[in-house]
Amino acid sequence: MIEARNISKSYGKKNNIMTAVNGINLKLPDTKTIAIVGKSGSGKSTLLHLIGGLDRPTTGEVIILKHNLTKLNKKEMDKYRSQDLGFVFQSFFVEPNQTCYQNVALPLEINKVPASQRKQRILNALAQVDLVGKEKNKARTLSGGEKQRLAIARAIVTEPKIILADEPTGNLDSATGDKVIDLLFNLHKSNGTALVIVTHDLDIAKRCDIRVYIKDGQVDKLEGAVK
Amino acid sequence: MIWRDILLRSARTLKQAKVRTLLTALALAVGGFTLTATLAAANGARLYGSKLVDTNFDPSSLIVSKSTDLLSRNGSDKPQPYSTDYTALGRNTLIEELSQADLNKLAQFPGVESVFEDYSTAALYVTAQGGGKYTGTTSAYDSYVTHQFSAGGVTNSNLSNNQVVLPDDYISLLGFKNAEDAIGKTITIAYRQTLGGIEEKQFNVVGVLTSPSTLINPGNIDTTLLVSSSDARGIYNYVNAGTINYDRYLTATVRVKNGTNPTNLATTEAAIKKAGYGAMSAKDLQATITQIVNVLQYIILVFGLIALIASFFGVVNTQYISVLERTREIGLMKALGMSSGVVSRLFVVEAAWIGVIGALIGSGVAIILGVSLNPWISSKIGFGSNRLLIFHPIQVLGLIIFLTLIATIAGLLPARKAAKLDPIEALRTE
Repeated sequence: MIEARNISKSYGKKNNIMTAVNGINLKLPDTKTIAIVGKSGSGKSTLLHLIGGLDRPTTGEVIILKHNLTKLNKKEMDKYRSQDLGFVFQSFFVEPNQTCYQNVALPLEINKVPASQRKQRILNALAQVDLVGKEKNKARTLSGGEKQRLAIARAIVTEPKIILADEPTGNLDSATGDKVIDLLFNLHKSNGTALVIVTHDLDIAKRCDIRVYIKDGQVDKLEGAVK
Repeated sequence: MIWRDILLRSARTLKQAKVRTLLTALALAVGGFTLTATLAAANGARLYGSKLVDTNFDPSSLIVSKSTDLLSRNGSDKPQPYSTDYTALGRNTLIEELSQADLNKLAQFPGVESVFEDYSTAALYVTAQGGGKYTGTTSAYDSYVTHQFSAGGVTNSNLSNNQVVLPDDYISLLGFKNAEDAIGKTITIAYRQTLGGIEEKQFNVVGVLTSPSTLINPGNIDTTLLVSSSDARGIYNYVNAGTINYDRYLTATVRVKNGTNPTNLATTEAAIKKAGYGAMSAKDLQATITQIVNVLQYIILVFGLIALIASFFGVVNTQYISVLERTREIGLMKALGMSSGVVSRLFVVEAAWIGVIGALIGSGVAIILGVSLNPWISSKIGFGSNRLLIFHPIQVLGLIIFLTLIATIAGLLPARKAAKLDPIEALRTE
C-alpha cells in the first residue's frame, strides 16, 4: 500500500512558515497507475517527495510497501529509495558526459549489484526503452525524448516496485511526451511496476487507474479504482 | 557502492574535466618534483660523502691534531698564551702543531697501533724529461687507504724510497704517452727550502692513479704525488729546516688496533680527546658531511613543502568548484539512494586521484630529467663518474603516497559539503 496518515509538510521558520502539504490522508494500492494532479504550487511534488523518501513530513506518517518511512533511519531510507523506487524527473537528470550504459549503471553500482550481472540488466533496460545500440553514446548527444527514455531505463534497471515520475513530459514536446507516457504505461503493464505520476496534464491523468487531485496542499478529489 | 566502482566513477569524472584536473595536479607536481629531486640529490651527496671518506681515509685510523680548533673549530679567537708549538696557518690564524713529544705520547695511548705524521709538502715543481714544469704536492703513501691504479701498482703494500705514484693528470703534462708508458720512468720533484735553496730529487714512477673524483684535492685537480713515508718525512724536514715547523706537524694519523671495530676506535678517540688533542675518525667526518647534506636537504624540502601547501589549497578550490558545478548530479545520486558517506568518498577519491596524478607527474619528470641530466650535472659539480641524483624506489613510492594523502586530506572539506547537500535542494539547482 501507499499510505499517508495525516501528513503535513511545512517550510520556513517562525513568522515565515509555508505549508506545502496540509493534513493529507491517503491509502492507495501499490500495484496501480496513480496520477497526482494539481496546479503549480499545489503541493503535488512535495507529496511525491514524501512518498519517495526524499523528504520527511513535519507531522503524520508515510507508509509505503510496509515501510513506515517516518521511522526509517538515513541508511534504511537510502536503501528504500535505491531498491524499491525508480525516479523519473522532469529535467531528466542524466549525466551528459557519461555514456548511456554508464548512466543506467549508476543505480546498480549504488545497489552493489555484482559486475557480472550488470551488463545484461543494463542492456535489457535500454532495450525496453528502445535505446539499443546507443549504449556507448554520450547522454549529451541524445534528443530530449531519448534522454527521458534513458532516465526511465535508469529507473527500471533495479526492477523497482514503484516508479515515481515527476512531470515526466514537462520538458518535451507533445508528440515526444506522448511516446514517453506510452512507454511508462507499457512498462507498468509488462513489469507490473506501480506508477505514480505527478502531472498537471489531465489527459495523462485520465489514463491512470487512480487520480489524486491536490489543491492548496490538501486532497481535493480522489478518483478511480482506489480499492 | 563498492570501492572498485567508486574508484572508476571518480576517475571517469576527473577525465571529463581533463584540463582542470591536469592543472590542479600540476600544482602538486611542482611540490612532488622538488621533493623527489631534493631527496635524490641528498642521496647522491651522502653517498658521495661516504665514498669521499672511504677513498681518502683509513677507517681504522684517527686524524689527530694538537689543537682542537683544527678539527672542530671550537677554539677561541681571543689572544692565546705564547707557545713554541704555534705556527701560522694562513694570515690570521695561529694553530698549535704536534711535536715529536706529542707523537711519542700518542703512541702510548691504549689501543694505538702506530702513529704517522702528516708530511704533505708543496713542491716547487714537478717535471720529467720531455715535459714541462708543473705544481704538485708530495704526501706519504698510506696502504690503508683504497687506491685505484690505471697502471703499475705498489708491491709489498708500501713504497720504497725514491719511488712515486703519480696521479694520471700528470701523464700527458710530463710527456708520457699513457699511464703504462710512465711506469719505470724517472721524474724530478723540486723543493724550495723555506730558509735556503732549491733541491731536486729524482723518483721512479711505479704506479699511476686513476683520477677518482672522490679524491680530496684543492680545486678538484689531482696533484698529490705519493712517496714513501721516509721520503715524505725527509722532504718535509728539508723544506721546513730552521723554521718553527721543523719536526712539527699539523696532523698525525693514529692507527688503532682492530680499529674497524667501532668500539675500539671510539675508546681510543675518547682517550686522545680527553688528553686535550683534537681527534676525528673517518666516521666522524662522514657524520659531519651527512649533517651538512641533511641541513641543506631540509632547507630545500621546506620549499617543496611550501609548494605543497599552495597546491593543497588548489585541490580544495578545485573540488569545491566541482561540488558546486555538480550539485544536481549529487542530488540525483542521493535521490537514487546513494548514501552521504559514498558521495563523500567519491569526492575524496577524486582528490586522491589528483594527488596520484600530480605525484606521478612530479616524480616522473624528476626521475626522467634526473636520469638524463645526471652525467652532465655530475660533471659540472666535479662528481666525475659518481651521480648526484640517486633515486630510491621506496622513497619515490613513499612520496607518491604522501602526496596522495595530502590531496586526500584537501578533498575532505569539499567532500563533506557534497555529503551534506539536501537532495531536493540539489535537484532544484539550476
